Amino acid sequence: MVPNRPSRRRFLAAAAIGAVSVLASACGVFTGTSDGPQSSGGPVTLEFWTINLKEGYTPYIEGAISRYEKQHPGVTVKWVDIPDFEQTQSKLLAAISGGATPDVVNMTPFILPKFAATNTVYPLDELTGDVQAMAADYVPGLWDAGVIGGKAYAVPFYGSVSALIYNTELFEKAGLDPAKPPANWDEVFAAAKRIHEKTGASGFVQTLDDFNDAGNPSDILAGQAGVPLLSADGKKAAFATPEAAAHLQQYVDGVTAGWIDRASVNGGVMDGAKILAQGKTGMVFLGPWILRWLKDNADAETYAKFKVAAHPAGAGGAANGFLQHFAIPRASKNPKQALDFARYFSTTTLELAKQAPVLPGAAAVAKDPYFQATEETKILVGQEVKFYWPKHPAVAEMFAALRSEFQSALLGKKPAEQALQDAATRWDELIAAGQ
Amino acid sequence: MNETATRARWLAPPRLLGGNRRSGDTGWGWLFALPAVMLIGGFVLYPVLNTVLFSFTDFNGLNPASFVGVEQYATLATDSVFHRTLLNSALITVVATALLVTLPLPVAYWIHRGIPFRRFFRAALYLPVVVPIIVSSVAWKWLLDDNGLVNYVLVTVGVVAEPVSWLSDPGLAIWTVVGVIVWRAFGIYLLIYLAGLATLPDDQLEAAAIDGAGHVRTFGSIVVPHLRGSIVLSSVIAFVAAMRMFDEIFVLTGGGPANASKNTAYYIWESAFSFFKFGYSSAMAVVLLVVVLGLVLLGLKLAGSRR
Repeated sequence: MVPNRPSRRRFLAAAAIGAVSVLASACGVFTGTSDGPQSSGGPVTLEFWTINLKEGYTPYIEGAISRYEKQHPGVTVKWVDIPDFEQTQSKLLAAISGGATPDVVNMTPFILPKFAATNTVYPLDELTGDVQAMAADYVPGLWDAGVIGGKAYAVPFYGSVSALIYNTELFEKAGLDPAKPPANWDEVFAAAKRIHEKTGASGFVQTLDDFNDAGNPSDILAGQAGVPLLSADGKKAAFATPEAAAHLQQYVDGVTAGWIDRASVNGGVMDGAKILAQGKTGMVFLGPWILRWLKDNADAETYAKFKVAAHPAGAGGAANGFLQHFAIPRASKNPKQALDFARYFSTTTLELAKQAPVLPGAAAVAKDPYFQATEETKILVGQEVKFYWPKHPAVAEMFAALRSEFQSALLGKKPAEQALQDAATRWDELIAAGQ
Repeated sequence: MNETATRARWLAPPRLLGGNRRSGDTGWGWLFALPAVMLIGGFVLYPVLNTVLFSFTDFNGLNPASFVGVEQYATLATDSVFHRTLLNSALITVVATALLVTLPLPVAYWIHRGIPFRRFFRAALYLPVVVPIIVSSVAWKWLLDDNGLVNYVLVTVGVVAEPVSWLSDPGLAIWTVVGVIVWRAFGIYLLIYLAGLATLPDDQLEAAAIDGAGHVRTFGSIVVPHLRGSIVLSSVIAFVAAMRMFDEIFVLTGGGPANASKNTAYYIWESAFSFFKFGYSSAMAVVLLVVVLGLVLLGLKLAGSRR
């Protein structure tokens, strides 16, 4: 008698179901990631992630780490540098999914709201009882960029404030006084038209990319036109106004006529710097940190033509800024020690600022006499800095939509009012959807 | 069984062994196939299955996922950016595939027939393939800039009066990207055709010459039919590569301006890693997989039926 055997088809079906079940549980789709264990006694190793600081800043970083390790016997800091901020995002996601996160991570305000909303980074009040006292230690605008929903999630590292960097030779050729650079946006537009008319070069580059001190749409709307991006309750987009449309129309006219460089439409922050270095535009609006790049990439004669001035005043009332800050992931094994290290590291930025002009996050460092020595460092600490973008988990998607609509307007595919209205509609959808 | 018979048994395809196949052979076969099965299972089937599972969730990469049924697919149906990316993917794929399958054919024929400096041309045309895509894309971005070398040359020689906005004109950006893809991948398809032509007996070409056939006739009546298999292979490779193309768009245009050059592969990456919408991007990936797989199978069936 032949025993009853399962048919091959049944066997395969059962195997397939089994495989799906095993894979579904193994891949963690429905289980998520676990919180890391908390601090324990004994030797501590902190993993510390920075963004693109290995090249040129290694002695500074390693020196600062070494000093911390000497001051804190038993603590070892493992430094990992990620070459760019987009990689930080994907690497951090992979690390969190794999349960092997760094203890201190250098983040940008573009990703912090998402990590805060998903509870994957610590609110600082869970790690220390003196958050209010901590806040007083930092430059207010930089500290505020890490406060989401009333809770602080990040320690400011360093920031950058937009400044006006201009080509004095093109100013002279256009009959403009290089000693009197444009002080507001009407003057910027007038100077740009004149530069283009007299020299053929574009008046300025103002890219729409995410790197905020290059002047992305949030700066154009909120900083320059003075139009708030969100309603007072934060539940609606508020930028689709006639004032904003009129200001955007200036950009449309400028790109069409050529007095605003066309690279503004689809270029990135470094495209603006490159065009300035080539002597093909009169002005860019970048942080003074770009001076180091310009010095390295332009000959001495060309570099001598560049001058720095305060960011033109806009209706928003403060210079637009960008910053890097430190957050402590939930999965950190030593979160309190990590916060201590982050706070320590934020006080080391004078050394960094001496290599590239950046605004230190720590208020005491920003008051150092070093920053009163040159025009570019004076501009860094002398301007009020503000971060205009909404601290919403979908901020990256909101800006992608806004940038796309801006591009449509600048390329003449849509009237400025329509572009702003369409962007506002998309923002409302994203805000309504929450995370 | 003598030595020759044993060797014949090992060399013969399994189907020819028929009733002589021993039950142990199957076990050995699986054992030999195991590394490949594990690699494909781990690096292809597992991610595909995972992606399908993600597509029914709201997974954001950070928190546990919740099952949301077909919600992501419903959102795709109304997402105008997704629809635009599908159209862009189709345009990029059709044009890039057509150019990459056809342009290298005559070049391969010329090189095969022994044009002067054939080794130089073969190496020069293959060179872009070995340059890292990011490196070549960055170089092209600088060359195609409004103030770049390409515009400088075109304006200087009077071909155009004003610099062309290769990357920031919404009507041009996508075709500029296609041009860079064709430049970069040309050598791969040239190599496939050259390999195919290496199996073309010389006497066929000599016979054609004796019969008075010129290059055009020889190319159309002998070379192209001989390379039919290579053409099908090239079509499939070019089609799949074009549908998945990401690097050039990332570097050259970032999908802009105003989504004019954004394809579905780029949008999948953007949704996942910029917007943290892994569930949504997985749904897009599943749709893309189904479209690519369906069209490839259809194409292969059509190619098979013609044969």
